[in-house]
Amino acid sequence: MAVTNEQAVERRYLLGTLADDERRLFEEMYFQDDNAFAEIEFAEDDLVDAFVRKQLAADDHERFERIVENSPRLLSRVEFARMLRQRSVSQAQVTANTSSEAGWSRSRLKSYFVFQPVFQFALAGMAVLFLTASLILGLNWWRLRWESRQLVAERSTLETQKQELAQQLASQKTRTDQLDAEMQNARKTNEQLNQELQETKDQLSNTQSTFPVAPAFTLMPSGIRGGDSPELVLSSRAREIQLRLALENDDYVSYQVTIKSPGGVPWSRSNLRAAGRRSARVVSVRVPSSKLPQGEYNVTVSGRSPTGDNQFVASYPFRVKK
Amino acid sequence: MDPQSENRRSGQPKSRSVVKTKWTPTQQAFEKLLAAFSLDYEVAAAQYELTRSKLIRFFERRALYGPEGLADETLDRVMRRIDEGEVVTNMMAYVYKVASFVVLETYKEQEKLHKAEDATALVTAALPLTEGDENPRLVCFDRCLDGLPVETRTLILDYYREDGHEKIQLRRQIAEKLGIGLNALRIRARKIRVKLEQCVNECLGQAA
Repeated sequence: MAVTNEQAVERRYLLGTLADDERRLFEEMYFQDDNAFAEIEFAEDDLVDAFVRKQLAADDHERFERIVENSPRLLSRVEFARMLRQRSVSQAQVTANTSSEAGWSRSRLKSYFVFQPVFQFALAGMAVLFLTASLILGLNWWRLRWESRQLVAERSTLETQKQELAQQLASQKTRTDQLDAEMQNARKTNEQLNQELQETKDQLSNTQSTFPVAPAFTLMPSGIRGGDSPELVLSSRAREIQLRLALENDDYVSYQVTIKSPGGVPWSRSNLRAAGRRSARVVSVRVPSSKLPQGEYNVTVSGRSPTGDNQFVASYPFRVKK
Repeated sequence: MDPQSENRRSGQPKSRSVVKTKWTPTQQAFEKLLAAFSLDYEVAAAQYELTRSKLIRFFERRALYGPEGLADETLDRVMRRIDEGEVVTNMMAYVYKVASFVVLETYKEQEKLHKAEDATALVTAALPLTEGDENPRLVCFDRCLDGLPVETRTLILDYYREDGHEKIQLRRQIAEKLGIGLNALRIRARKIRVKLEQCVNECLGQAA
């Protein structure tokens, strides 16, 4: 039976004839490779069978015999193989007896060659050469296989690391995307809030400009109070002021108010009606602050008669300070 | 898992044939060892058993006495290192390394034992197999063989029947008949053989 390089190395290992380094390499390999270990178990079966059938070379037979003697497990295996062999042969006895003529001729031919000395020498030489070559090739083959497995293992480790890194990266990216999305949302919310704040501010500003609280000043006719003209202090925020002009008598249907300043353009409003209690009637008028820069002013109130004439009622001098 | 493993799982110390450690395995340490083999408990348990088998063969082929005890000693040492926090990246390479140390330590101790026990060991081991029905091994063998299904029995007997070229031819025929490849046949035959061997050993154990 042809022996492969692999089987030759396994057998040398089992017979304990590998060099120390080779044995160490071989053992290290089968510790890590379960298939290789299974192959050695097969090789041990074959070796035990060959031993039982006396098919080993004399020195190998002797060597293995010593190993078996020191191993109860192997001794048991050898005995088992012997019994298996016996039973197999006895089972096949009938088949063997009815073997064909061709089988007999082959057997005779075989016997002829086997008993020729020259043929035996040649055969032995060839066997030695073959075994030596097998051993060398086998060891090289094992070494290459071992290196190859190491490379595969390293590659596998790298692949695993690569996959783990990819997973971590993907996880990190997902987290980053999530954070980005949250940041975008926060930014949008912030912008919205700022916008709302601005709108609120604008509304407040508009409200203030549309409906300012106009400061009110009550002026008395110049003849009544006497003394210096009153001073009105206007805030820069006031868009307009309310002048309440007191009347001695309310004799007219409507009134016209005219405000004059030295060198300035007169400002007037007509069709104004007096209001208030009978004893304290006033004509009220709202004047834009822009019409009242700092300076001296005089307000004239005239009443419109039922005939449509305007008649002087009273004047109200005052000063504006800002 | 074998009883020794069970002992280890229960945290009980186990006697060693040659080398002894003071450290006592614990349940927690054993679980860490299994986790170092695999995170899957079933896979880890199978890997543990396979590793133990590899170690037993390893020590046996180094011609050391008590290979089973040495295998357990090695696994205990690995377990201890892992329990103490050592990070093992290549478990089997590490196991082999520890086993190599155990070999070196054991060689010296067993050298004396070899000399003392040589004579008795050889006498016991070299006892020839007695022929006849009285041989308990043969009785057990036949009993186990008869216990196999007919097809299985025929297969194993045929598989180991011939030698040389005839053997190859016959195995090819069997494989063809079964509709499987030669390698599948080889694996199947070995499974039967291992089963049969186990049966014989168990039978002998009972007989003793």
